[in-house]
Amino acid sequence: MTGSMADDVCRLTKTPAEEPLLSVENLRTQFFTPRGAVTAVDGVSFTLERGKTLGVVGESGSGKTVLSRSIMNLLPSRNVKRTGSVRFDDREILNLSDSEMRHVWGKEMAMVFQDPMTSLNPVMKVGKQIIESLRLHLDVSKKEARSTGVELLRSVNIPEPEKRFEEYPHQLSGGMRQRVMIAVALACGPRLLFADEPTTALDVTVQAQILNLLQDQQIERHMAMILVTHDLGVVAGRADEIAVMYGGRLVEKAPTATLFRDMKHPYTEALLQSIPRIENPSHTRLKVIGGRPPDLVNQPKGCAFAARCPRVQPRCLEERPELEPSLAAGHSFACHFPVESAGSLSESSN
Amino acid sequence: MNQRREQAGAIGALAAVAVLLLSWLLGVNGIIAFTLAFAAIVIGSAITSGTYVFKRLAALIPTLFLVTIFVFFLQTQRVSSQDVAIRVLGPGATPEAVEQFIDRNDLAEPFFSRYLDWVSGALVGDLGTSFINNTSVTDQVAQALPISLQLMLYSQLIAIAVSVPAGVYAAYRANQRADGVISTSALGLLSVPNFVLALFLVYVLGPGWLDVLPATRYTYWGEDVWGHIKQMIMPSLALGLGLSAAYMRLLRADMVVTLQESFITTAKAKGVSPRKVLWSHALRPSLFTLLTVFAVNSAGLIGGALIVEIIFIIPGMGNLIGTAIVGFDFLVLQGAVVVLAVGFVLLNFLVDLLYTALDPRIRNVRS
Amino acid sequence: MSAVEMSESGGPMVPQVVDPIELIDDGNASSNDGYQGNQKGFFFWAAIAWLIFIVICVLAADWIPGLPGPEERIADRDIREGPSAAHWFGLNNRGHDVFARSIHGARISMGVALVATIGGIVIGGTIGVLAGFYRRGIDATLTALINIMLAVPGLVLALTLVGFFAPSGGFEDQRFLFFDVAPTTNATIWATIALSILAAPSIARVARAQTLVWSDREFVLASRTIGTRNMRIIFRDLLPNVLPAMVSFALIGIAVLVVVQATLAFFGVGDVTATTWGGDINIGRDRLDSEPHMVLGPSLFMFLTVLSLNYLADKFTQFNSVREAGV
Ligand SMILES: Nc1ncnc2c1ncn2[C@@H]1O[C@H](COP(=O)(O)OP(=O)(O)OP(=O)(O)O)[C@@H](O)[C@H]1O
Ligand SMILES: [Mg+2]
Repeated sequence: MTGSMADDVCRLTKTPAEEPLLSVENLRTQFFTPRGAVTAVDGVSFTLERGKTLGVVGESGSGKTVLSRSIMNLLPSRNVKRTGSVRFDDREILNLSDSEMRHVWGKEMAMVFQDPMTSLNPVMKVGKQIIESLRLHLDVSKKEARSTGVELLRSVNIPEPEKRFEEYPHQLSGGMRQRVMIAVALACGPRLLFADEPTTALDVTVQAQILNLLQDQQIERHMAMILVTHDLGVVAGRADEIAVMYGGRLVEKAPTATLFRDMKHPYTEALLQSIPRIENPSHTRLKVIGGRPPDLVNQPKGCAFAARCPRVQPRCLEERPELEPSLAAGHSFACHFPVESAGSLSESSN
Repeated sequence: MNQRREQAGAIGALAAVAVLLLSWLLGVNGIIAFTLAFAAIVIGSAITSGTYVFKRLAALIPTLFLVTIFVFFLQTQRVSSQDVAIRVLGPGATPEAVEQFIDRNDLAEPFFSRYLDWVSGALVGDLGTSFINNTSVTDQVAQALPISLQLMLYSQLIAIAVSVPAGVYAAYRANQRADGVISTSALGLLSVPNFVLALFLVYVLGPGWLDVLPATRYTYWGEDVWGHIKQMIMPSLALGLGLSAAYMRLLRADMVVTLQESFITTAKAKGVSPRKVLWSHALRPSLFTLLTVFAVNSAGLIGGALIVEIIFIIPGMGNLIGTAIVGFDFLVLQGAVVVLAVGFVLLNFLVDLLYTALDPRIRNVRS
Repeated sequence: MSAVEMSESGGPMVPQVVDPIELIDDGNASSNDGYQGNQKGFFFWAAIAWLIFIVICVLAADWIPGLPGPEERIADRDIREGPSAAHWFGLNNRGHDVFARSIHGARISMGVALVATIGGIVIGGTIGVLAGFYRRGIDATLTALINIMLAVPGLVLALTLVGFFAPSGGFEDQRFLFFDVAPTTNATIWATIALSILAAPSIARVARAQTLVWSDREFVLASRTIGTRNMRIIFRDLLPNVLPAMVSFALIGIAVLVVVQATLAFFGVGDVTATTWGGDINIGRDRLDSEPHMVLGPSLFMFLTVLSLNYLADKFTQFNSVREAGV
């Protein structure tokens, strides 16, 4: 069985480049809790080309983490149900078992987690954590793995990589730990990297460095990336395409430039207005999105954002808008009464 | 440099264990082995954690002082020397014999001078002489201690061999049926007193029922290896099974928490197999409570050993102390308790060393 | 043996405030197959029922109709008759009904443990709260004291105390403090005192840790800043918070002390004439191969009692951590 898996993997790498690397169709994830079924991801569809970056944006609780873990099959198996389709390299991976996924995890897809303080094993040397997946997936000797590991540390801009290799996570600063985390994820040269809010736990000064590092590595390795964040500013200059999530659904999706030029969904607009911007005078109050995120157990009949939407109309409460393509290429949104022209809000850069 | 210091500690700990193990196997005099092990542990910890060790050693002094003075107090205040003499010599003893006995054992001397006498002896390794059988307490302890350590070691090994896999598996299957079965049996096992478990084992495995194991006297390793093992199985189980239940519960609780940590997801996302996630990522950070309890309980374990030794007629510290209490043999009791207290402190050193080995975060705090 | 169980609830039962996303990684928090749920299931009520039964035995064993007294001879020979409908656990070597003796045995076995636990909580709680509240020198001294007591094996301490102070049939001393008491009562009282002392250091440790935590909470600091007297803070602010955490510990304490008491009796230390579970097990032990029923009866009673206590202690710890998490 292992043999056939390896063959599969080989075959996968040879598929023609025109196919999208990842295509997610109508993905739906439910948690069964004592309170009822929580629909954390609800009918999400998108595709991602090789080497491209998708930014997933949404406020806390909108289901970004659940989405990326659903795609990666990293959710617990109990009390969870996923339906729909996730095709990676033209192969359905939604229903793969953990033991089958193990050949994909780390090797094909990898993930950089939110908090570098807790996502590295505190009692294992940094080096060991990096080479662990090398030794697992690639047929390399201890010595080779070590030199690759040190190389990786160097490539994520860690000074004195040989020394750091032998250290424990607590001996590193937060930013360095996140670099290590990135090195761990990059070790086997995955073709798809998930970065789940990779900088929220870090100092502002370090955030940009880490994001740039991710971007550089992505370009260098020709790797696709899903960059999850709650901050539109983070994805602005970095993602090729942006998907805005609200209450488990995609509410707007567009190439980055299109989105900033011509955003249609009031939620996207609200997100944009909650970013601090340099050109504003320093005491301008940020717009906060009023109200609470929707209850994912008893979803309202109409639009999930209706309760908080400044432009709400009776129809919004009755009928749920679907994600429909707009005039611009690759742009789609789910709103009955879209924002007319947001052109005045020119592109915000970091 | 830091690295070297840690190693010294670990080597010290290992050396101590090795000395004790070897001395059992070779039948080296217990007191010598004990002293060597003591030295190894202290030197190891001193190198690892510096003055900290000396502080801890200093803390041992009031403990020993209070323990000894307390036993001396019991002896003088509660029991008159006449009583002791009569108890030792038998009810029919003549007054002259009683007189002579009191004289010979310095029982008429004032409290403090006797105490000082004893302390000055103890400092050079002479714990006095038993009233009852006129043998040196040091010798008696030296004979009994290795046997008790043996029993404790075996039962700790059983406890760990049972509790670690059970605890890891229960945590892995937390709140599922397998966990329910394991946790419930652990609770049940925890509720069976040692001596009841011992009697149960004797009944089931002994001549009463299955008749697979002998309930005979203690056999020395040197005499008959197989006989020794057969003889020690039941006592070690009686002591170890209850412990394993306690350990398993601790490990499970800690491990359930560890398994929720995000570094576990990191490992999973690397493609590490569940077994490796459990054993090489989750187990080590989950061992700390277990380790602390391991140390704290070893003092309690001697209590269990006491009963088990008496049921199975094993000539260890438990039997020594038990006989001493029943026979009012104060000096033996005192010597035994002092040795146990010292051993307890040492064990704590050992655990500290293990802590450092397990958790790299602690190393920096201390140094 | 005893300290294992004692130190346990001081250990890992950390209340967990779990962020939803963290639930993703283990998936057990939302399970509904109920094994460790917080609902009070069958076992909870069974444990309560058994303990109520035991308490009734402690208080009213003498008045249970139709129950033979502990020293009442059913047969006058040493027949050691096995279990039968009339005598559920059979008869012992002196012709007493083993079941009846198990019920009567609850009085001392359980009574001593209960009183000793209360004593232990008073002694240990005081030491722990004082150490945790005043800190510094007082804390250092009291902690040293606690450590010293912990360094002596508990059972050895108890055996020494009881063995020397309450020798079985040895000395003529019938005084306990200022009271004239029968030697047997004297032995039982000393056993109780010894067990209190045994329990105190572990309880003190828990109380100290709890006090340290609570006295850093805002409301205590607030009381301090407005100049409330220390005693008042201790009684009004700290104790109500420290005590609940000790309920499950006290249950474990009783369980442990039941066992230690039985161990003393098993050893033949203290009052050997009293009817106790441990004593009866000791009586039955020499003919274990042929007539195990003599050991079975009291063992079963003791096992069920200790099990119920341990189980309830577990449950209380769970309730507590849920309560804590809600704070
Ligand atoms: N194991 C679970 N059981 C039940 N509900 C869950 C579980 N995991 C996540 N959820 C719910 O799914 C929803 C989406 O959570 P998710 O963590 O994906 O949000 P997020 O967008 O990543 O937020 P953040 O920015 O805070 O990380 C939340 O309402 C959460 O409560
Ligand atoms: Mg998230």
